[in-house]
Amino acid sequence: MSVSIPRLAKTWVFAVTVLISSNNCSATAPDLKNGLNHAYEQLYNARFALEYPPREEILKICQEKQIKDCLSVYLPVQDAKQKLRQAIAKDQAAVFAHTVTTINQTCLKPEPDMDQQSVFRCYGAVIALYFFTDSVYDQKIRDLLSHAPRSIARVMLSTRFEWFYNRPHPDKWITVINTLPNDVLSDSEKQPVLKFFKESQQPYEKFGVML
Amino acid sequence: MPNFIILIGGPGKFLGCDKAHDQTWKNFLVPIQLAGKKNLYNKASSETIHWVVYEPPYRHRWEDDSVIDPAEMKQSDGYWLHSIRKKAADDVTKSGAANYLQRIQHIASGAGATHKVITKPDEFWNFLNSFPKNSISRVWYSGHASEDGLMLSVTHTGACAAAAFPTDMIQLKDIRSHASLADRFVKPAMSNSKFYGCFTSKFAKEWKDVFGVPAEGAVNKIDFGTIDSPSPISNVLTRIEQTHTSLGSPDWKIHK
Repeated sequence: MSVSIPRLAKTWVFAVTVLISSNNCSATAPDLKNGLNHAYEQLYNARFALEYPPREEILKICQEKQIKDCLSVYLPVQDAKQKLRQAIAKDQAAVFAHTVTTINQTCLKPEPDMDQQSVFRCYGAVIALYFFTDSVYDQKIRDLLSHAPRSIARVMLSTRFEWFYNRPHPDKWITVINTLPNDVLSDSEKQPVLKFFKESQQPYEKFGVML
Repeated sequence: MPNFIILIGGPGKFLGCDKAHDQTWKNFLVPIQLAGKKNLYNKASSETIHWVVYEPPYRHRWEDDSVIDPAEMKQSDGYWLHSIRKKAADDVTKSGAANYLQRIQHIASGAGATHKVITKPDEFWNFLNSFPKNSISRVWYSGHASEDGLMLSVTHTGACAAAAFPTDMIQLKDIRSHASLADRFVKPAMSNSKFYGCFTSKFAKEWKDVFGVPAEGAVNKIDFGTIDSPSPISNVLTRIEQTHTSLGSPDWKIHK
């Protein structure tokens, strides 16, 4: 007979685990951490800035007409993407570890209690999952979602993130999402999220960090 | 009795570093107010209109506009930002209202609409759910938006980019999560639901697909500022739907 751990206890145990695991990550150079944190904050704009081009066609107009409002959010996101990719090329494991640690630390608080910078960093780190497409990391992200407290799991699936569309094994994601407890995601909330993952094998329009 | 629900999102703060957004606190209110005065929405005599106002941005904006601190008074950016904000707050006080929210309540009352304040996006869905079956004639929205949903409020990031907090959004995916509300809508629909915000066409299409009622939205950007500009189009709603922005035509789409 399995024993169900109350959600509050699970969150407390998780917080302690995060503290321990973040200590283990202290090998990540401070410069790298600062650079990544800044990159996450920039990536936030790709999903939530008013002027970020939502589609390739809009980006083209923005570039052709040199529209300042949209370039001023698009270019920093491009810069953040480049820096993330360079860091991943050097040490993918360290960048992934810091991304996960950032998600665990900044997305843990229920959202209305999060400070502004934590919100940007939390969602930016979730957006950064797009850059980890190897099967090994895909499995680690599934593990992260499966074992995360409710607040983190809900943030990870809270909007149409680009990483839903480039998973190497969408079928495994569909299984994981279907088995999430109802207090994390109700059956009706699962439907649109499953739809995103089912679309991942089909051609899609470029948007957000895909641009 | 059919119910026509109008959801009104709010402005961000008017900052010197962002002169592109929300120069006036009533950006999203005036089109609805004018539509009411001139019956541009072709209200059926049997329809009851409900204004649903997202409270946090109006509260924050009032706190910001109604008190100009000494540092702001000294600010000289060539735009007299603080004077614009102060005048807006003074005009509201002169009208007899204590703040922007009370002013909205007075305007809604004058327009013969009921007035409901919400503080979380979920409360919008709860409000729809509170109506009996076959009783919602249409839903309109006026506010910021993106392809991912309605942005009921906006903040500014470190580099002064206007952006939404996810907790202030009604996400496009939330429509499907509330598919059970489809039976609340009058069918066949009396009029189209309309979403006045940038890039709302996908939201409108999903609304039509899930709730089975016609809906309209913009494929590209729209500009609420056009209601204060000279235009050959006298109907302010049509003007918003048709006036070009920096990205070209709004490409207003009807999904039937």
